[in-house]
Amino acid sequence: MFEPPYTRTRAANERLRAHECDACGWVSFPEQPQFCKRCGVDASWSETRLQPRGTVRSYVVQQRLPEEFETPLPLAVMDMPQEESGEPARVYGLFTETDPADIEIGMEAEGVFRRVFDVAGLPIHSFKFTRPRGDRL
Amino acid sequence: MAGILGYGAYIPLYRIERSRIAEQYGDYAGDGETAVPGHDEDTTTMAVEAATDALTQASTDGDQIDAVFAATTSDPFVERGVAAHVAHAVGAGRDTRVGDFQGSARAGTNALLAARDALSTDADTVLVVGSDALSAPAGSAAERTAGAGAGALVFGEGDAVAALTDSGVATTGFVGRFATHEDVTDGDGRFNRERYLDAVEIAVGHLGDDSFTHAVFPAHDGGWGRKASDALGLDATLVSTFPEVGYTAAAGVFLDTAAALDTAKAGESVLLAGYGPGGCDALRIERRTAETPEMTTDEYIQSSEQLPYGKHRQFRTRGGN
Amino acid sequence: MSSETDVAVVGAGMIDFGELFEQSIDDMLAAAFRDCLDDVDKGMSPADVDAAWFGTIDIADNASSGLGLSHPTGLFEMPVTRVENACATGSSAFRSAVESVRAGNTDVALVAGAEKMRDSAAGLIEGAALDQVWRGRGVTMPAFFGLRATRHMEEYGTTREQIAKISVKNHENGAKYPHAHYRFTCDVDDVVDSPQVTYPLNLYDCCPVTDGAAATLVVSEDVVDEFTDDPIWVAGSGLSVDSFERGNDESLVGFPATEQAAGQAYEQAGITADDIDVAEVHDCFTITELVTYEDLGFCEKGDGGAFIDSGEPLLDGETPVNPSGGLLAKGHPIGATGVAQVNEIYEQLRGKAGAVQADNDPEYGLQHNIGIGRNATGSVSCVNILSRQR
Repeated sequence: MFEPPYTRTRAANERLRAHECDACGWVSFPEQPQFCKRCGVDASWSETRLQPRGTVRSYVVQQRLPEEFETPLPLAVMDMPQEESGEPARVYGLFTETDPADIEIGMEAEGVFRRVFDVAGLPIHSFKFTRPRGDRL
Repeated sequence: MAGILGYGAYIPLYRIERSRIAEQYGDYAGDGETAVPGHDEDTTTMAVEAATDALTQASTDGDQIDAVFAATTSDPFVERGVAAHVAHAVGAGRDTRVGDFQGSARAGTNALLAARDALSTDADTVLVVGSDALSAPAGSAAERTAGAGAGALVFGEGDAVAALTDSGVATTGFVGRFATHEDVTDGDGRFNRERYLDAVEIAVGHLGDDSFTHAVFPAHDGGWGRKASDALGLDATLVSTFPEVGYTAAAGVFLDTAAALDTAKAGESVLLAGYGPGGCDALRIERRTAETPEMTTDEYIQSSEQLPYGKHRQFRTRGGN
Repeated sequence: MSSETDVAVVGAGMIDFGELFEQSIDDMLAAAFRDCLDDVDKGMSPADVDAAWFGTIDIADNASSGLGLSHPTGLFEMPVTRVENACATGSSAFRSAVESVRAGNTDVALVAGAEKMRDSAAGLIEGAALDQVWRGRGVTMPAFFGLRATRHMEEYGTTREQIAKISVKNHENGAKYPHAHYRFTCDVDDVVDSPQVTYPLNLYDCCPVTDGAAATLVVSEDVVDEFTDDPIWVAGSGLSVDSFERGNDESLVGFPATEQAAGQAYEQAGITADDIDVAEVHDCFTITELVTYEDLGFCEKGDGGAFIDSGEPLLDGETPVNPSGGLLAKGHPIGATGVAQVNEIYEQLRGKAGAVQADNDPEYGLQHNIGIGRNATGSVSCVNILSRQR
């Protein structure tokens, strides 16, 4: 944060700041684009926020990863809804504290604020996904 | 008087039984569990989770916050801080004042009193968080109860769920138990407890009304609360997260308070004695409504998973501290 | 598309793929280049080459720019272009050379692809994008393709066994293919019981980590007679890019980029999927081949499992797919893969594919790559079609 790329992306990482294409409604996250990836228009964009939750569209369970990861690691393609109305953003979601047996396509996962990795010793924070805490009572 | 619009707690998912820790070293420990931060948690992440719960109950958006005060004894950084990062994560604006309160578990109540002071001057809405992920050397006695968690309160005007109505202070300068980043020194248990009781009595003595329905005495020794209550002659329900979460230093101030508020009805009152090196602050918190946040402290406690010893060590050293 | 030159393949060469610790990328390229020159029916010397295209993602960091090809082959004082398009690098390099010849800018083009995957211990299992937060952190190649498997099984009822059969087929072919890295055979149980890499994929669902190099010579119709009387023609080519982020649900169970690239190639060749007699497709993972059957139009969307069950893509089936054993058996030295696939189609159409020759007298052959890029957020596909007829 601290290094330019992470300073640029901090609002997206920590506040789930996203951008909606005024021409076609597509939601870009985390990038703040100029040309729309979906409709190609050099569009104007409306700033929006995503909710810290998502629906699992597909997933895998990583068994082998570099040491900094906790495995087995469920990893999903998620749709994250906006705070206001509109389309969701389709993103990769890293899971934490979730048994692979508890993941399924279509499930709603809770976004939790976690340390993702360190850069030059400083933590980079963003959201990971987990089976809702309330479900574990 | 400072209105509390919302409060929240956060306790990590993981636990380890104290007996499981002790038996690694051929030792015995009594009942109780201790919360362990996940490998991807730290003082900032836990503070943000608790703050989010509190802000939700308070129906307050990040950009309404005028100040953020953060209390912790386990910030791994000598210079980086916690409050400004919590402020950014919850969406507070650039004109938000911050304060990092550290150096004692009493930093928790220091921060609460500072929030009250800020409200009486130029701040309308103040977020206070306490967050700790305590570390202790493998095999030490402190390891068994070195816990993790966070709590938060949102002070402001409007529909309050509770209010901070009175306070008493005893700055004795006494240091009993103390810690560095590497180690914890307990000192003489009975001597320290005597000094603790002195400080608590002085601080509580300054309060106008010393009758309470609930009382919380966050401390590294789970038995001190009962001693303090007896010494004060209180007829109050003692609430403590120590048996299930362990010692959480500055965060414990907030966790125990949240646990007490969860069970207090409108009109009831909570005595909070925040103690650490330097002395004690006694606060009176009165419940205005019975409204609780989406996840109560007990629900965080009940939703848990056990860890084996090795994993717990790995998470402790990779995570919070 | 008027005044265009027809383009022919006249030579194909490669080295045996494998874990080649003693060979540098220079060693591999030189050997593949020599093998390719020797393969030309009437002979060709380096002096005949007008321009070269070098496909490598340079995973081992030692071959930047076209100079990476000039250095081991002695091809200086001519245009040499380095091409990188993720796993579609080799086929994109081939396509670029073809386009230059077709436009009349080059008479004789060398295409070479090479990769030193084993110069580091990490391999394809390494976690992608470790410094990114949302763009593909932790998304390794098996994860990227595995996501399609989970969804395909859920949406179409495709079974784990059907997916595994692709590994069985390709290892059976690979056992007969002299250049393959691995030449063992296996059955469905072997695949499903092999160690899990990324649920739902196991070890034998994944291609190995392999070094290799391959080269192809491509010439214009104006000079083809100097080199051979039995050329194979480039009938069509396609290239496309897509991203799952754009929200198309089809990109969760397959790769629209493949469908788009194939559509371009079929149109240019004036054919449909039904006309393809033999194909070399990008089976970096078993599931990739399965969804590719659908994306190429060999079967309907969702019927990839039924397609492998039917036996059609087997070596003795109606449309052999990956007669060489595919990436699963050969390995995937990224820059070389597409070039080696083109070479195999060339051999198949000439009837010179030896033990893995398709016996359906193939007229049209298709080569396909699909790769992931931009921190696993998108895919790039290249398809090339060769034909016996001009």
